[in-house]
Amino acid sequence: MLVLGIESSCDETGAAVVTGDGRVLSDVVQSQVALHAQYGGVVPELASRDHLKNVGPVVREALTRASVRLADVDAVAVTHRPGLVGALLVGVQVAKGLAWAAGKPLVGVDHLVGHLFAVFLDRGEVRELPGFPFVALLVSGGHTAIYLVDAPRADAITELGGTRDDAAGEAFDKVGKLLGLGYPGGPVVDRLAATGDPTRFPLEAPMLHTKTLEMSFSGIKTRVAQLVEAGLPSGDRAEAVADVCASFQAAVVDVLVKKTLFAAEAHGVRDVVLGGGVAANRALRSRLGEAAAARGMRAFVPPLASCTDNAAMIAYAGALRAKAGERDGWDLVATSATVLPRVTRKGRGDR
Amino acid sequence: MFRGKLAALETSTALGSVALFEDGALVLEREQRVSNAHGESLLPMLDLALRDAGWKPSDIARWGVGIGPGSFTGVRIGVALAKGIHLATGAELVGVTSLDAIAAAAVGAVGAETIVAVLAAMRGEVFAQATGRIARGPTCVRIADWDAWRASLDAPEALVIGDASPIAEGTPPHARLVGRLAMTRAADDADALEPVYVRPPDITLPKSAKPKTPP
Ligand SMILES: Nc1ncnc2c1ncn2[C@@H]1O[C@H](COP(=O)(O)OP(=O)(O)OP(=O)(O)O)[C@@H](O)[C@H]1O
Repeated sequence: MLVLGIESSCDETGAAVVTGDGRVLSDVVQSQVALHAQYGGVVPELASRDHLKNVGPVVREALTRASVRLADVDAVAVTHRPGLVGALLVGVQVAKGLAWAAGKPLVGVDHLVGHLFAVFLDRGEVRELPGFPFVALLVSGGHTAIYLVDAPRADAITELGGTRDDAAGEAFDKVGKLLGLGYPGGPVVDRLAATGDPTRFPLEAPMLHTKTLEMSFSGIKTRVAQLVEAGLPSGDRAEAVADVCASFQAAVVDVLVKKTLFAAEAHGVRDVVLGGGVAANRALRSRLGEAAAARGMRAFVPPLASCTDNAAMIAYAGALRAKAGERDGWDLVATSATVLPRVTRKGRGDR
Repeated sequence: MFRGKLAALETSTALGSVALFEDGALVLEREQRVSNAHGESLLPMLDLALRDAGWKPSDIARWGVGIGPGSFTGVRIGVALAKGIHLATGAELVGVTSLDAIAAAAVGAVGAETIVAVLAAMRGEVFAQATGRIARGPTCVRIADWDAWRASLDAPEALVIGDASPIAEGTPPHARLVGRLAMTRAADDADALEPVYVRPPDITLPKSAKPKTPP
């Protein structure tokens, strides 16, 4: 089986061709990061306009790189939720036009489901695969939650807990902005943290010690804002900035790792999987691996290209649906909310 | 003049429409008024139209598509669908602006050397374009400034036509007219085809500058 996947939920236009068992034949991602950088965040209308401009060449390139003709494709998969509706609908309409005109089945994919199964993508590296059930930490600029995944189906995914406010990636980006490191701040904070001293400005993520799997990242961002307001020592400002990055990152990684392994233990699950753009974070990757091993668990950290927004994961999740004989109608619409039932309500309760 | 099978889509306003032509003659047309752009209804309407005509998507050698100005979302829904179809079949695409389609309805009207096409643009503004003896636009004009803009054309004889209350109470652009114009023009570069937005994007950042999943 060959599936063409299309992704346009936020600020990446993507198209990919993937086989039914997850082999990635092509994975084209056109990032809009530079377009939005000057505004310090994604501007929805600009994103929609840019998706529409890029989607044709991106789809064409995905087919060319895979050496596949549309006629050879068995299904067209597209992200139809969650995300920016105006951005999503560009991909959805293109996918519908493609599938309809080529006489192929259309399958809509939930972006989060795509992230959760991205670990099964085969990009040619030697890899081990997690077994079901597994616990997954999905951590990106738009989402942060822990899931129990019982089977390779969207309706076999249960959210165990998530953030009550900011996503972890969003907190990285806000801290980057506060420290004047540009947008997106995540990768820069990661780089500076590697040289910083995490004990100089001790920070702790809220809810670290609570028994729930819920998290909160807005308070720690406020703490960083207070540090910046109080004035970082000007004599060694560069060093101080690196130290703040190190403290912030250590605190965030700490709570993410702790809650994820706690969830796995609570559900008697041995395999934990990492996904989402923040999975690029080196400290998170290594800490999760070490802490899991120390508890006799296995951590699966997909290659970066599978963690950040990409269309290969959409094609693969679409292949799972297509293999099960599922397909959507020509009335498929873009929706801002995920299909996964949420247990964590935004803004609820004490931190 | 294009010969063969041609299909046209228009989604710049709440009135979505499709029209099928063969060798220049209208075969059938369908329209639907919606409250939520056309993402849900456009392709089902097109699919039914093709069934009624007994056509397959790959029979259509050229597509005319409305490219605005109008609802940003509505226009993107039509243009993105057309781009997807083009990727699948390689059919030609011809973009037609909503104001050209509106003006096309008036071509040949007695004594109208200049035609001013208008379309409601929300927020107290209208999209406007003059063609003929005087050419201006497409542009966005505040309704409050309409008389001054109209006078500045220096074309008192101009016929004002379109759907932009209170300036004109006519009909919105229709796929029938998009198709008619698409027959007479050269094909566009499909990958490069973009809507005519006229208005710059709103740069109001979402509160967190990031999409959030609603609770
Ligand atoms: N090395 C890193 N350390 C920490 N955060 C990082 C790192 N690299 C990227 N990020 C963060 O990851 C986020 C981007 O993630 P992703 O590519 O999944 O996009 P997204 O739009 O946030 O995704 P989604 O739509 O899936 O929520 C940004 O917030 C970015 O700062």
